[in-house]
Amino acid sequence: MMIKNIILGVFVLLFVFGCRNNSSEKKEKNIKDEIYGFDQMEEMKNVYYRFPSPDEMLNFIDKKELQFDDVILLPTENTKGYIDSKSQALNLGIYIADLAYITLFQRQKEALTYFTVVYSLSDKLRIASAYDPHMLKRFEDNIKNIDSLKVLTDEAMTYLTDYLVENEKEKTFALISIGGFVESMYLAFHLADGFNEDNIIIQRISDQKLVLENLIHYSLDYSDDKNVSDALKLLYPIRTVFNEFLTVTQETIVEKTEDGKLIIKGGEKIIITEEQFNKLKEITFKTRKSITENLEN
Amino acid sequence: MKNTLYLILYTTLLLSPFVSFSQDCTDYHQYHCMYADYSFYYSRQSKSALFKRGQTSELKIVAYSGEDYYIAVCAHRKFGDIHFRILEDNANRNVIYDNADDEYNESIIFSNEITRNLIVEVTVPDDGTKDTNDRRCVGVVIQFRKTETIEENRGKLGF
Repeated sequence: MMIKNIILGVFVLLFVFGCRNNSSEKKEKNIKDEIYGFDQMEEMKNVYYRFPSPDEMLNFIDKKELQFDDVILLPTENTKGYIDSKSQALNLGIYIADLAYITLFQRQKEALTYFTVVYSLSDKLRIASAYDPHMLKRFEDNIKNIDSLKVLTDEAMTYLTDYLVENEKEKTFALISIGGFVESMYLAFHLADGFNEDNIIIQRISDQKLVLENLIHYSLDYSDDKNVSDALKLLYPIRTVFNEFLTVTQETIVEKTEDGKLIIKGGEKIIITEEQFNKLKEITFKTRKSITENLEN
Repeated sequence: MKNTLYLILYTTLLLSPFVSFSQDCTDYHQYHCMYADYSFYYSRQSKSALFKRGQTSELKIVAYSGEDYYIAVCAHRKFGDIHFRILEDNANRNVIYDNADDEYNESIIFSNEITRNLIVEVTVPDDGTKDTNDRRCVGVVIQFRKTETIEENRGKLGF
């Protein structure tokens, strides 16, 4: 009996090794892909596009100098109207940007309300398992601790991003990111108020041209999905306005401080005129309206 | 019945070296890379991916003006010193930083006068002597904070 088992084992070994040695490179790759459960070459691609999330874009907010305004936020009741997955994902991005705005202004009550909305919309999209199951409770428990709110929001958004990547839902991530991009611009326009070329917020708005390019490149990878390709069409009018912007180029100089920090000077600075500012504002508001009122369906 | 068990056992043992490669690198950087101090916030531009020896990949990011950025790379020690460069993402691809000129330091902090597209180019060395099919996760952590002006720093002097 024992001998039979050994023969059987040797047979299995020979069979599998035989298959590996006799197969062509392509076949071997396919077998490996089946074993690994994913396409290795796809995993090891050479270029990855990344872009700042709304909290990074809005990090210029200084609550001592700027005024919080809850009227500009997307009303929480609107969630009821988002029935299809595209509008749910795009508007989840809008609410995530609103939550970043709220957190940067350190508004406790609104933070809990908007996190609840983000959670419920995630649930509708069946991605709420991305969050720590106790996240809502932790939010409630830490409502008076401003620093904890920022940490919790960051943690929740990082979990969500990781979850979408891990579960091959990057199409949904592209939609959320498009919504977040539009809302970040919308909020920044409100904070900037009128045009002043020395205003840091207006510079940040014009710099979104670079963010938009990376976001479009990223989303194009998933544009075989109709929802993503439709959402990309929302961004193209904004891109058209950005493409009218001029740049002033200076030689890039890198200096090193005593403590080893690099200071990067020069490069291509984006210039925005008042006319372009108004045009960009108009098209951004129109795009935001289209998403939040679900007009693109 | 016993034969079936042996068959499963042999097959499992045989496939185990491959299955060990089946790793998800998504959050590798979050648990393996060195972070900056608490004045920096985590950027979701951070990324991990699967690499093999000799591979070079690029992470295209945006670095805002008025912000300090901390960039760190990490990988399994069997991969040796990870080579990373920061390049301008334009036609010239000017090299802003090369850790090969900095004793393969795993992190760097920089501040930016204007917003720019950058490329974090990461290369896993291949000296030709190791297993070229060895695949492991490589992570890049990006963090940011507002750049403090000299005036702001002056305000912090004394008690």
